[in-house]
Order: sequence, then C-alpha cells, then structure tokens
Amino acid sequence: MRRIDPWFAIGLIAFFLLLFVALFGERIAPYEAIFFVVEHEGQRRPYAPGEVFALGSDVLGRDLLSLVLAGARATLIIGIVAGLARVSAGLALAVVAWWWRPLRLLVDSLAEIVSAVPATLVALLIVLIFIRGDAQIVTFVAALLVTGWAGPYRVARAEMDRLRHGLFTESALALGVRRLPLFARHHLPHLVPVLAVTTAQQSVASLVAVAELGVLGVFVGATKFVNVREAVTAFRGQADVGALWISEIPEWGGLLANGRGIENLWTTRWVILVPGVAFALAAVGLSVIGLGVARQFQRRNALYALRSRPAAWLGLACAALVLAAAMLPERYAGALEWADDARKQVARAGSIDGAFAESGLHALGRTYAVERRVLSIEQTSPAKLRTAGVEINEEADTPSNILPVLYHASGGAVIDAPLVYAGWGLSPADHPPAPSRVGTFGTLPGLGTLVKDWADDYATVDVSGKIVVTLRMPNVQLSRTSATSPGQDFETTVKNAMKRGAVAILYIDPALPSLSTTLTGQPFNPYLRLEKVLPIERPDGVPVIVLSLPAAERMLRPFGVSPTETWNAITGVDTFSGAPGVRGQKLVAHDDPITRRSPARDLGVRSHVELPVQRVLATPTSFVAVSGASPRVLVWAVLPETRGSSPTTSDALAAFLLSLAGKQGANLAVVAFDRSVDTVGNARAIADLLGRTRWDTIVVLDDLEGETLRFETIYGDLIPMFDHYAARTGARASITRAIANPELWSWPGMEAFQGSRATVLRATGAGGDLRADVAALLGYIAGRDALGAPELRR
Amino acid sequence: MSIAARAARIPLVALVLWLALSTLAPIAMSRYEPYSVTGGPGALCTPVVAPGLALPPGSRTCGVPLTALYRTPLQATVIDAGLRSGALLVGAAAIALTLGVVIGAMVGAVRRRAVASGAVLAATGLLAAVPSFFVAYFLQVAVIVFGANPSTGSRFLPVYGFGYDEHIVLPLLAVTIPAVAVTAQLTAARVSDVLDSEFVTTANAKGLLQSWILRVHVLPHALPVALEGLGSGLRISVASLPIVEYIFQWNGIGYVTLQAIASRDAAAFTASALVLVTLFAVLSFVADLGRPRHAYR
Repeated sequence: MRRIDPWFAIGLIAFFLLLFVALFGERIAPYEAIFFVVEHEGQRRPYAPGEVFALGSDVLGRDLLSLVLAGARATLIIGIVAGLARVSAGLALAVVAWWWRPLRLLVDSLAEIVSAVPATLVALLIVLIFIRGDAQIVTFVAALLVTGWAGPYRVARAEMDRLRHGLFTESALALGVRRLPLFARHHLPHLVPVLAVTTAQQSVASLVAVAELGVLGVFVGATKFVNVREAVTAFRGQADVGALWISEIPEWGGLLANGRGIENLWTTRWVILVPGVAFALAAVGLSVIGLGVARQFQRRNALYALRSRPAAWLGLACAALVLAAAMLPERYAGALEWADDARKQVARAGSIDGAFAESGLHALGRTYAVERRVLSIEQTSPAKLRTAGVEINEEADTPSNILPVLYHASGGAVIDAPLVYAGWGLSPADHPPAPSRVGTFGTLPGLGTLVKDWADDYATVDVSGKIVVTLRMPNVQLSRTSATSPGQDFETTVKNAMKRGAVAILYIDPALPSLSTTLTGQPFNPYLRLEKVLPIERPDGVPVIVLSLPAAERMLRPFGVSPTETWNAITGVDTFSGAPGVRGQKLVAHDDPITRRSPARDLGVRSHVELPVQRVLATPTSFVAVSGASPRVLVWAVLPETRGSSPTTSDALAAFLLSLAGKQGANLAVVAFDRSVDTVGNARAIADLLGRTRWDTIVVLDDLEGETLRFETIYGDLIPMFDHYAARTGARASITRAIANPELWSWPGMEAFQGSRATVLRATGAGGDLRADVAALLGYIAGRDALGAPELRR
Repeated sequence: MSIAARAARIPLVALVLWLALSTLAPIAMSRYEPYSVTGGPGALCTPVVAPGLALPPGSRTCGVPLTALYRTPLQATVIDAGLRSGALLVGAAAIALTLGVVIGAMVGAVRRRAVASGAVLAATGLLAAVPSFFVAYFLQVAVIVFGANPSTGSRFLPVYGFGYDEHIVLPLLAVTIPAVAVTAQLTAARVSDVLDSEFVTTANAKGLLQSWILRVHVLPHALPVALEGLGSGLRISVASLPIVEYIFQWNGIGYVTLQAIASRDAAAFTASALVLVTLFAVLSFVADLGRPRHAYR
C-alpha cells in the first residue's frame, strides 16, 4: 500500500467510527435504556431536545442519544451481516452458475423471479411469521437474505461475464489452470471493487429495510408491552397512545416504530429525526467504506494488500478494540459484588430479628421491631348448620358450599330457632316505585316499578325470631326483549330480613361454587370483597351465611322445599351480567306467572346455627430499618407464617440484610411486614414511621415459593428495569411481557402507599429455591443505588 | 436472447409467482395475528362495541377484508391502486434515465478535475445511500417547516394525501431520487472505465474532439450500464414503494399490499403483490431492451 486513495482513508475513518460506536456505544451513552423520565416540571413526554436530554427523549421519556448509541450494535450487525450474506450468496451462486451451465438457467430464472418481489413486503411477511423466541436477529437477517441475493448475483455474473472475455482468462485456461485457482487468483481481485460497492449497497439496503420495517411497526425484540398511561402526564401530539411495544434489545427500528405517525411531523419531529439521522449516517458511512475499498483496489490486488504490514496493523487495531470492549466492565459492575455478597449470605440466613440486628442499618424507633396491639374480630371456629339431623359444616363442605359473610351488618351467634323459607325474601312494600334510570342499553324502569305486582314473601310467613332462608333473586326484565334490571341484591335482602326480626339469614346463591375463594384469583368473589370493604364491627349479631344450591337442597329437601327446582324453572339467562367463568345471572320477566305466587313457607322445624365470632387481641410485629439519610428505595418483604408468603421471603431478606453489614452508600428502607391482622392499619403505621407515603421504587417480596421469579407491576417503565436487574444478576426470572391488570394488581399493604410505584416479586412453578436469586437481586438494587444509578434516584 | 423471449418472461414470472403466492399466502397469514396498518403489529385494535351485539372475547376490528374496507370489488381496488403507483414509477423512470445519464457522463468525463468529480460523486453517493423513506420524511418536514406561508399559514405543497395535482410532487421526488443517484453512479463508473481503454487512448492520440470521443466512443459503452443502473435504481424505487406510499398516504398498490398483509386478506395480497411484480417485470424488461443493441456493437 504505497499510495492511499483519499476515499479509502475516509472509508477507514468511517469504518473505525462505526466499529467504535458498535462496540462501545452502550458504554459511552449517558444513560441506560432502562432510565425513563416519567415527569419533568409539568412537561409532557416526549421531551424536546434540550428540555431534559440534549437530543430529546423518545415517546416514553428515554434519552434518544443513549438509545441510538446503545442500539448501534444490534442495528449495524443486522445491516452488515445481511449485506455480507446477500453478497456471499450472490457471488457463490454466480460462480457455481459459471462453472456448471445447466444450473445457470435455473439460477437466472430464480433471480428473475425473486428480484421481482419487493423486498420490504417479503421481509415484513417473513418477520411477522417467524418472529418468535430468542433468534430474532437471525430471523431478520434471514428475512433480508431471502430476496436480497438476486441483486448481487446479477452484478457478480455480469462482471464475471466480462472477465471471461478477458485475454488473461483465455491465457490461463490455455495454460491449463484449474477452475478454482483461476477464480481465486485471477478473477477475485478483479471482482473486489465491484463487490465492495455492492456489499456497501446491500448493507445500506438492509439497514433501509430495517428502518422501513420499523416505520411499519415491525422491529427486533418487540417483546415488552409497556403501558405509559399510568403517568400523570399525557402525550404531546398523540392523544390516544396508551401502550407501546418497546424492543428488548435497544435497536433503531424500534425507535422509529414508536415515533411514527403523521401528527409527529408537526409536534414531535425529533422522535423520528434522531434515529433517522442515525440510520442515514450509518448508511453514508457504509457507502463511503465501500467506495473507498473500490477505489483503492481498482488497480491493485486486494489479496496482496491483505498480506501487507499495514493490513496486519489494521487487523491488530480492530482486535484490540474488540478486546477492549470485551474487557470493559459493564455499568455499575460494583453492584454485582453487592449481589454476590447477598447471594453468599443465604447459607447464614436465620431469623429475621437477628439479621436486622447484624445489618448495621439504623432503626427508626428504639428497636427494629414495630409492634401494634390490634383488637380484631375473628371467626374462631368453622360455621355449622344442623337441621333435623342434616349437618352442613364449613370444614367438611368447603367454602364453595357454605360461606359465612362477616361484614358490618352481620355478626356471630349460636342459635336454636325455627326455620322459615322466605322465597326471594322480597316484599314489594320495601321497594317504592322508583323513577326510570338511564342504563347502558336504554331507559330502565326502577326495580320498585317492576316488582309492584309480585307476591309478598313476608305476607304469608312471620320471620320474627326465626332463621330465614332466601334464594338469590333473579334479574328482572320488562319484556322478553328489553334490557334487564338487577334484582334485589344480597345486602338489601339481608337488611329486609333483619328488619323483620330474623335471627339468622341463610342466603342461597347458585353461583357460589363458581366463585373463587381467594381475593387475588379470578373470578372475583363479591362476598369476600364485601368483608374487605365493609369489615365486621361487632362480634355479636345476626349470622349471615351463603349456601350453594346443593347444600341448601340437602337441608331443605326433607321439608318439601326445593330451591333447585325454583331456580331451574326460570328459563331466561342474562348473558350480559355473566362475567367470564361465572354462570350467567337468571332472568325473569316482570309479569311471569312464577312471580305471582310466593314460595315462602314456615318449615315447622327448629334449626341450629353456629357461627362463633369473638374479639381477638393480636400483636402484629413488623421490622423497619433504614440505611442512609434519605431512603429512596423501599424493600417491602411480607413476613412468613401467614397467608400468601413463604420462608423464601424471610431467608432472602435475611441474607440481603446480612450482606449490607459494613457497606456504605445505599439509601433504602427495609420493612419486614406482618400481614396477619389489620394489614391496612399496620401498613399505615409503618408509612407514618417512615414519614412518607409516596415512593418512586418499592420492591415487594410476596409469595416466592416456586422456581421462576415473576415481576408484576402496573408501571410500564419499571418493567425493563427489573428485567435488566434479573438479567444482570443471573436470577431465574421470566421476561415480563406486559404490565399487570390494574384492576387485579395488589400487594399486602398497598393501601398505605397511594401513588407509589411498586413492583411485586412473585414466583411461578414448583420446587425451586429462589432464595439466592432474590437476595442477589436485592443486593444488586442496593449496590446500584449506592453507585448512583439514576433510575433509583428520581 | 431475443426481445420476444425476454418479453415472454414477464407473464411467466407472474404466473410462477401467482402460483407460489396463492398457495403460500393463506398458510403464511394464518401464522400471525391481524393488526391495523396505522397501529402496527402488537398495537391494540379497538373492539367493536355495539348494543346487543355479543362478540366473543378478544374480537378486534382488525382483519377486515379489503373489499369490505373499500366497498368496491377487489379488481377495481387493485387496478385503481396500480394506476396510482404506475404514475409514480413511470415518472421516476423518465426522470432517472435523463438526469442520471447526464450526471453520470459529466462525472466520468471530468474525472481528471478531481474536486468537481468528487463532489458530484459524493453527492450522488449520499443520495443513493439515504433511505428513500428518510427522503420522504425529510421532504415532508422541509415543506412543513420551510414551505409554510407565514401570512396565510398554508403550505405551498400538500405533505400527504392522493391526487394527480400538486399532491404527486413529494411522492414522486421520494421515489425518483434514489433511482437517479444509482443510475448516475454506475454510469460514472463505466464512463470512467471506458475512458481508460485503449481505443479511447488511440482516439485521443488521433486528436479527435473530446465531445466526439465521449459521444461516439464512450457513451454507447456506458449506456447498457446506465440501463442496468436504471434497473437497480428502480428496483430500489419499487422496493420503497410501500413505505413511501405509507408515509405520504398515497393509497397506491404498495399501501394496499400493506393493508392486505395487516388484515390477513390473502386474496387481496396475492392480487396486489402480483401487480407490483408485473410492474417491476415490465420496467426491468424496458431496462433490458437497451442492452443487446448497444453492447459490443
């Protein structure tokens, strides 16, 4: 290489610039891709250049410059590998077609056909079909190769046709040079300029295709469904954006995808402009490299140049850069030591109190323990019903057949009283004709109007001092086709029976077995919700017990009353009120003959109802400790030995606490929370002690028995953060694909922290041991906080 | 190969691709969920909410066949869209051929004045390298920012929408620019090559006029490459047609194809993709026409 073409020099510079950005982009970026700015001085996302970040933010509030730098590697790899693959495939086919004539016709026709299909559409279809799992970059490269080889093939074949007519080819053939040496020694050097330009063009074309797919909304690693509506701020320009897919690997196509839309051109141009300019610069850089190589080796043999000393130096420089990139520690590498320390302490993890004492954190009160004396009203033993030898027992029959409802109107008692069946428990006198109300599907007459001609269940029987059995009332319809009005609800039925002097109420709900008994699971149990929203206020009162149809049938059948038959006699089923998984509520026309005769009857038998409820004194004991002057991260671990938590939680927390001993810099609060009684009151007391109810980051350790961690949050910008932490610490965690359902998402104690942004750690699967993983995750978070990671310091 | 044989390949290619697409497209399209073109895959489709209309859970508005969307028969939709895209492509071909060859010949001819040649080459290289969708965005932004009339607030060109009036200017520019650049680049390289050959040296030695040498001895050698360049340039144009039409909301054949993919309408996809293929085959046939008459005369 005696003389260097200026274009080649520029190309070399461009090459090293691209290589540098691809290798070090993630490290020289000012922020990580997991850093979201959700709110900034009342400004709405995305932020214009200069408001928060120098080049502005993307739609979600991340630094665009950082994203572009971090995304360079994946994007350039796709572009360059696809370009090289296209040219290699094209050249190989051209060479083979040149050697073996029959193949030539076939490949020619294939190239003709393949190149006639627009590459973007084929790539779009292929990516849509095959984009699954982890091989997403491979899918993209393959999609770009399928149609892309035809162009380079034509160029290579045209050039080889030209070379075949060259005098040197004929001479070489006459000398008896074989095909492979002929190609490698005599033809390849001539092909280098053309191939260099073609490779550059194809790499650029691949980049363009990636960008086009991005504009069309298809990009690498579109795995995370991040809801952005949770933020107080709305969006500039786009009113209807509530949720967006973001790419797992930062990548430029995904940046374009989130910034597209005609409205963006007027209001938020920089969101498209910044990644667009990055694409353009990369494309120009690649073109310059191709042009430089083409000009340098137009008259020189590239194969000789490869063996020269400068080439060796260049190769060495590249190797040194790659090595340097590999050796460079990742961001906040120090936090990994915190994680390792926490992981090691799992073997020592013992009692929670001991761990708090050893942790070196300081307590907010005199001790770490926060005790409260709580008088709670609890059911002390299972509910029992006994009627003429038939016994229904809460223990034996499970809550899906018998469910005592302890809410503010009811209470506990042990009663022997006559049993009376009161039908629907409906008296039209209780419901004065009500004005019509406007419902979702039209105007509805009030319930009082609909039932004014119904039979009065309480007219024929006297319920005073007796145990009343009622059947859930169906919804009422004006006519067969009109909209429905809900029947008399559970609370009103109970209230009306009590008003008439009932001493116990047995409410038959045919839907009871299909209602889940847990609060968090689907479908929702309205009775448990009632207990939670309107808690019981006194231990003595009228017992209210919900029975399923089979249980009621067992009890009432001997006396000639069959609620099942009554229920089955109603033909209409209200599909609209039927939530998924719950049997639809029954529907009856307001003038149906069934409503004109009351089934109420005195059964003439005494029944025994037992529902013991007492005041219980409990002392829930939580532990609270803080580290640093102004804690920003709250670790909220739900203590074991209570419902919904696990030894894993306490062991992981203990290990984490032990690892904190002697470490400086982390600003966090640690709470071991006792949720056994009065969850809300305890949580409020702790929140008062901590002096804050709004936290930007709360890490909740809930039930952790399982083999894979799972992160549940309704705050979209916390999803990438925790997935990143799990990946860095090597914790066994499933990738969080979407935010949790805001209506079902809850954690013990959340009522005391309104507006706080929490992520709940739970586990799925069975039989794993997640203690070390959780401890390492907590240690890593503490370490990052100590090292000043911005996403924890909002 | 004769011209007739080349022309005969057009329907052959179309036939093969029709067979391939009509069998593969329905299978391929069953593998992904329908989405709306504007929202992109993954974006939520708004569910139909109508009183009394009970929909199974997860019903979406996406996936409506194009015949229901446009309320015209499929043929009419595809022919309409094809004509709209055809206008863009024919215009681009005409501009690229004239402008590209002129620029290429100039660059090649003045190559000994390195600065001028290098500048033009760099400019064409840049234009060829910049993605056409970026050109499209740039044009839109330029018109919005610089083209607005401060007194009336109106722009001197519409930035999106369809119409054979001033609406066509920006899409046509976006489709044309890469084709011009590629044609100019390849022509320049060939002209520069031919200028080095012995017969040009001979002609120079004989003292022939430079313009004569260029016109008679050089350009005929360069024209096949220019046509090749036009071919590959238009290949880029056709490939960028869907995205350019998407950005300008020019509901030509590319946009209709995207809609068909998004709504998983296999019949509409096959038909519109076939139109694209045929458009492409015809244009590359026209590009091929020049080759046998000029090469190695």
